[in-house]
Amino acid sequence: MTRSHRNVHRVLWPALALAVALSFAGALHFRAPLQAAAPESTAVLQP
Amino acid sequence: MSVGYRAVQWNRDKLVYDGVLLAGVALFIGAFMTVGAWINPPASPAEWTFLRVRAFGVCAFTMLTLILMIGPLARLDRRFLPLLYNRRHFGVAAFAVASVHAISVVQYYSQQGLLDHMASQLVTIEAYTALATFPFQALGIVSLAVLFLMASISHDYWLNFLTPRVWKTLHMTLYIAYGLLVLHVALGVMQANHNPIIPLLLGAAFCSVAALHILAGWRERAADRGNAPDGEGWLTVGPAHLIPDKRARIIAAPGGERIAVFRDGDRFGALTNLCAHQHGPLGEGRIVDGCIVCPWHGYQYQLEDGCAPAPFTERLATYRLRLRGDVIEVDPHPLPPGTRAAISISGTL
Repeated sequence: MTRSHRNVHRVLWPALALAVALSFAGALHFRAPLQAAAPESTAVLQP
Repeated sequence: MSVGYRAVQWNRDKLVYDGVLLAGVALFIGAFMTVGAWINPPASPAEWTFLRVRAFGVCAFTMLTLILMIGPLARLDRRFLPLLYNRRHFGVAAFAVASVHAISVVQYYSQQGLLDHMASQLVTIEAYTALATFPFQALGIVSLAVLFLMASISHDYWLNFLTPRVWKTLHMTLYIAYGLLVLHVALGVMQANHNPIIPLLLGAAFCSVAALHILAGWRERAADRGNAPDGEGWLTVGPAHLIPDKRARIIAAPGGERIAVFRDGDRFGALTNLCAHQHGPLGEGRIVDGCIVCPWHGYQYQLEDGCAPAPFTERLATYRLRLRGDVIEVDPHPLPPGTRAAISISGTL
């Protein structure tokens, strides 16, 4: 890798990890309770 | 390496790599389908399609996780280098598996009569404004498009046409695609199925990949700081006898690219550390049969002038060397590719 690729790589991964971690935590926190999350029609829509 | 382009060149190593890869994919999908059908027997064609969606989706995600681990693992430990050798076939296979997943999803929605509903969800802007309603399928579609692009330009023809710098830059979009894929699962199956194993495995996979990349990048940082040049602008490489025979010492000028200073007996030569093929770390290779061999894919260069042996045509930038006492020094200004610059210091070692 060139120096510029390594520089981008060093900035990109911590930023990506932070963004994914926050979104992942949000997805866990805001997911609907089990009873509401798995009605027939919703379950079918999420393979 | 080759002098012309062929669709795919096979050798024993590639055949073994691809054989293991295909067997692994078949075993994974077969086991997933068998165990899935055994635990929860599908009662309709749509349920079989649903099982196939899951099997190929999990397989594609696992493959992409492993693919993204290979690079930093090879940087951290040379024993992982063989995995890097044919990583492109691994990537193309991951795209093929992800495509079957996508096709199965469309088939599933079609069987359920919900294809129009899915399409309308994808184009409803309001749905994108909240995590709870976010159309997770869109994240999968973008990831698949990136995988398609990577698979399309994976051949050396495109590597040569685009140049290694652009090709490598394009391949870095795979990191973003992987992040989107994690969210595709988090906003998709993780919402409908509250089995704790899903977030645990998903989180563990992403954390492993991210940690390896951050660790490898951190370790590279020290090597990029570089040595300060002396008053004449030359960089100190070190005592000649401390450069291991048939190996290199890698140095960098502040802000410049790395330089690999190789030793072959009493001959010393300095080349750019970037292999002409994929910008692999040439200085981590060794000299075999008089040629420097790149550790990634075996591209060869002569120590004297950085040229690939005939009939190959690759040429690398070389650097001037000099000896001060017992210490080798290098001029960090590159010479035109293919310039003879190696020196002999017989009698001083």
